Amino acid sequence: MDAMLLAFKMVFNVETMLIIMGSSIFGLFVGAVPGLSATMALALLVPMTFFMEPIPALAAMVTTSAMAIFAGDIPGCLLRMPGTAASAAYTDEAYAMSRNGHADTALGSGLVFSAIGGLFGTAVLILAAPVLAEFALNFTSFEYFWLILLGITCAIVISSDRPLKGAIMLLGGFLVASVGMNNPAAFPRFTGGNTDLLGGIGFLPMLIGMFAASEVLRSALDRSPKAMIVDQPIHNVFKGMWELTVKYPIQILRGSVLGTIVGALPGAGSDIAAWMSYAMSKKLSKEPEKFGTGHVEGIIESGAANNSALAGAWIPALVFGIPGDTLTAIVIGVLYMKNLNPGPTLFTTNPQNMYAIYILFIFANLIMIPFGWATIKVAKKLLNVRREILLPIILLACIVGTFGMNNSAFDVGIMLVAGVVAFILEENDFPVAPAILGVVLGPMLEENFVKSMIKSDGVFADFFARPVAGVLGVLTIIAWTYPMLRILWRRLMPKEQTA
Amino acid sequence: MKIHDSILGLIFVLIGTAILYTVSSYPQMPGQDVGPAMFPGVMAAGLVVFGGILTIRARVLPGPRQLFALGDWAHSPRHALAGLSIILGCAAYAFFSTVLGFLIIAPMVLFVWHLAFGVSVKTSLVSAVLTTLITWAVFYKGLGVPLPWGLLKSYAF
Repeated sequence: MDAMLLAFKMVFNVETMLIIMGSSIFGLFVGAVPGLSATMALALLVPMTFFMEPIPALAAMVTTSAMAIFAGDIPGCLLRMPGTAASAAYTDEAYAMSRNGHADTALGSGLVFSAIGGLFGTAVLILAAPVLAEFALNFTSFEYFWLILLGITCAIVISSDRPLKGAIMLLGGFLVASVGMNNPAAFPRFTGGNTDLLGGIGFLPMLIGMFAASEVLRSALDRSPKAMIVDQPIHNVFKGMWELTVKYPIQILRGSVLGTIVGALPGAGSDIAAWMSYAMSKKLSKEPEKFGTGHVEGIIESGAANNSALAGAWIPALVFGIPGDTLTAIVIGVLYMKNLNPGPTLFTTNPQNMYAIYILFIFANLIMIPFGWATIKVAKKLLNVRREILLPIILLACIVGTFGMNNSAFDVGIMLVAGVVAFILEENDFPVAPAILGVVLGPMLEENFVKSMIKSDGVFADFFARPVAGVLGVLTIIAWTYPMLRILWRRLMPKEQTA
Repeated sequence: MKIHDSILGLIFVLIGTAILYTVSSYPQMPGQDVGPAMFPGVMAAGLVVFGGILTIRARVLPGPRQLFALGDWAHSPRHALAGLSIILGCAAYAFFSTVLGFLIIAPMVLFVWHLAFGVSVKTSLVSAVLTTLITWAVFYKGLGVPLPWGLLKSYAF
């Protein structure tokens, strides 16, 4: 109980409240401007969190991501341009509703059911994380080794429609993480005698380069004509929400459950949750023919899914230190920076920190409703913001944020290289998210592998000796071989049939 | 900017091979089965294999055969200039910020970026100066980031 009281004090104080308010406005703004993603918002925020206490820093991350994911619905609805990838699944539907004169219902559904989905995901986080943490307390390096391998396999198979390119990006991330002396042997790798590289390639410059600078570059080179805002008045966005809740309770629950599960899977985040949920909603709907014509059912289900996925992604991040999506990969970086190393002991040594995170999630999803309402009110002005003025300002924020972490101009160079490389690779359909997972998980994977090898005296069979490790190992091998077995099966089947 | 998968695959094979060559000279750790070469070595081998598959697949499967194509932006000098200005501006900051100082280099790059993005001279100037001062106030005065003074060192406060 003392821990809970302490957690309330950590959250409800002037500093944290001011940071939550500022982060809310920042997240809503970035999410609402097309071309600026939720990941970019978090990447730009990380340098600021460097100067904050741990809980205010986490408050900033939680609030910004929740607000940005919701705000992505606004340009989707009024411009047919999703503000973030998580809104892309139902952008056409929301835009069709706006054109039919129901923009207020589309935006209201996005807002209210995002908050409900977010609260559902938080409830699962609160209930599941401590149980998993208790279970994970018995984990050794063997279990962690297999868990990381299984996690990255899921990330490649689930999150990317191009697993080969995803795998290449993941390996690239691992190799970037192996630069410097941060390895079990403390041997300087790939430094080329450059002392700036002894500490490795900074996570933050890479992050800002890959998710912020590359997006600025893409926007600068984008020649698509400016989208026209739907000229429909927006009245009371909350009107009819209760009726929708009563009409579609199964859809809300289904979207929230699916979103939380997908979010908790490593590598799959809000965007995949929303796509899967929208598809499921259409498939199971009593009125599937209405989908695509401006029907609210899919927006309700996938809107709940994308925000519940946010909280779901924190479960493996907090319990195992394995990011559920790109946003939690950034959060894990911040947790390490703040000496709140993720893992089961986080729940036992300082429970007040965990309670504070739970409170932050609940609070962020509750204040999303008034803040989101206010944003919808000024939406048309927000969407008219001059990007040609905004982009250079964001770029300067990227540079100063990168520089501020280590006061190093070298890091600015890393950011630039990472930004250009990410831009080129994304243009060629390489997913960037696996690379950042590789950077975060690379050192963990190597450390647990080396520890396990030393413990087992080089006998690889010992990797399967413990029950949980054995199960995880077999599951990983099945996940690796399944695509190959499927291809083989498909090739063999016609021959058998013709024989 | 589209580069054919066969070329990109080949680049990954070359990078992987170079890494394998580099780690082959890394020492073994006494009394251990795994040394510093193990992890990057396995990853580089993976890069060689997957890069090779990407190249072969791109050659075998039907699809565009053009090896290299610039994006739509290449047909618009303004967009190409905007993209180039971002790269050169960041590089200029990395190289000259320490010598010139933040209060000199930041408004310069901002002004150029605004112009390259198609903003009028007057608005570019006002935005560049205001953004520099606000950023300086937030990061230098507010957060304590030691942004370089450079040429203005004697006026530092």
